[in-house]
Amino acid sequence: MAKTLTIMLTSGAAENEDALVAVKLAKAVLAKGNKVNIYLFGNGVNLSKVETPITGDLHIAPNLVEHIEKNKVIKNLIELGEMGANISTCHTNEHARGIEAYPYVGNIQWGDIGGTFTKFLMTSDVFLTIGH
Amino acid sequence: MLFFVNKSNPSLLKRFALVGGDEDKILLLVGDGVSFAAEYWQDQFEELDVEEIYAENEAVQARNIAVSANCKTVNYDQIADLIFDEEQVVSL
Amino acid sequence: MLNSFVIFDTKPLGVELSALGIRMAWACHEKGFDIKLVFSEEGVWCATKKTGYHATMIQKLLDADATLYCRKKCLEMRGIDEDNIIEGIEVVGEEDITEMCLDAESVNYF
Repeated sequence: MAKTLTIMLTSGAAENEDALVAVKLAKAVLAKGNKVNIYLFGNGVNLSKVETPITGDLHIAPNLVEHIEKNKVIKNLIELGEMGANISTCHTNEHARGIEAYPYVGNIQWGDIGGTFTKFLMTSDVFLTIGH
Repeated sequence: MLFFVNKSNPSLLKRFALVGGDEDKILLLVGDGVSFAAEYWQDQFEELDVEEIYAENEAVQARNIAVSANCKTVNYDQIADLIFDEEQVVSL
Repeated sequence: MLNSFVIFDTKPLGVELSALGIRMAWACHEKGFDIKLVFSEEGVWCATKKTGYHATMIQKLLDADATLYCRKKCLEMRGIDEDNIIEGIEVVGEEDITEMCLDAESVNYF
């Protein structure tokens, strides 16, 4: 019988490897036919938004660009959504960061801890908080 | 009791003891947590009733850590099984 | 399915995670999960008597019969008098905390 993992991710883009850990674990769990919920909380909400890249020369050394890009998880989150993961944010944390109005990436949805998150927990077999 | 460890702070050892007491413990080390896979920590883990230690392989390779013989390196496929095996999971 | 959680709040007032731990405790308690919220390490500063969001949410939890604890050893290390802890938060020792963790299905640190 499929099991359900809920991950609460409180680290955001670039600050550490927590997001990478979360998406890699989520993918592996989904690939085995299980279910995954991801609740983006605290700085994790920064991961939920469509990027607005600049055009032209980045003025960043190539090896640093490579380092930065390999730690981005936007494509992973889109893929996880396509694999069936439920990914939601805490909209109040988005509000705290002034990003609430920006569009969500992939299948990521608006959420709240009292509604979305507790619903995730109600069907979970394992709950992990990943953050620093 | 499975401890999911993503940090390298030595003070985490106190959390293992506080949360797990005398219970047998399994450490699942990911990200910076894999630094606990080094031989240096193993005597202390023995005193803390740590029975099994798993370290995520990519994180180990990225940090060039010499993993203790007590520790098994695993990939995320294996971690995906490990997390559902235990009745209690602790996120540090 | 999971029902019992120990939530450790280990960050002080000025760090967002301290509020996030309290918010998770409130949301889960409201929905009927078995929650124990433990103020530990730097998080004990959140448990002291004062005004503000943390204190308001802690009082809401207490008024709703949630179980909140403060780790005695961490108070002593910081010279915080137990009389300065919000009434209703139980000050507990290490063994009590271990016992509640061993009984919980999930233990999560903030």
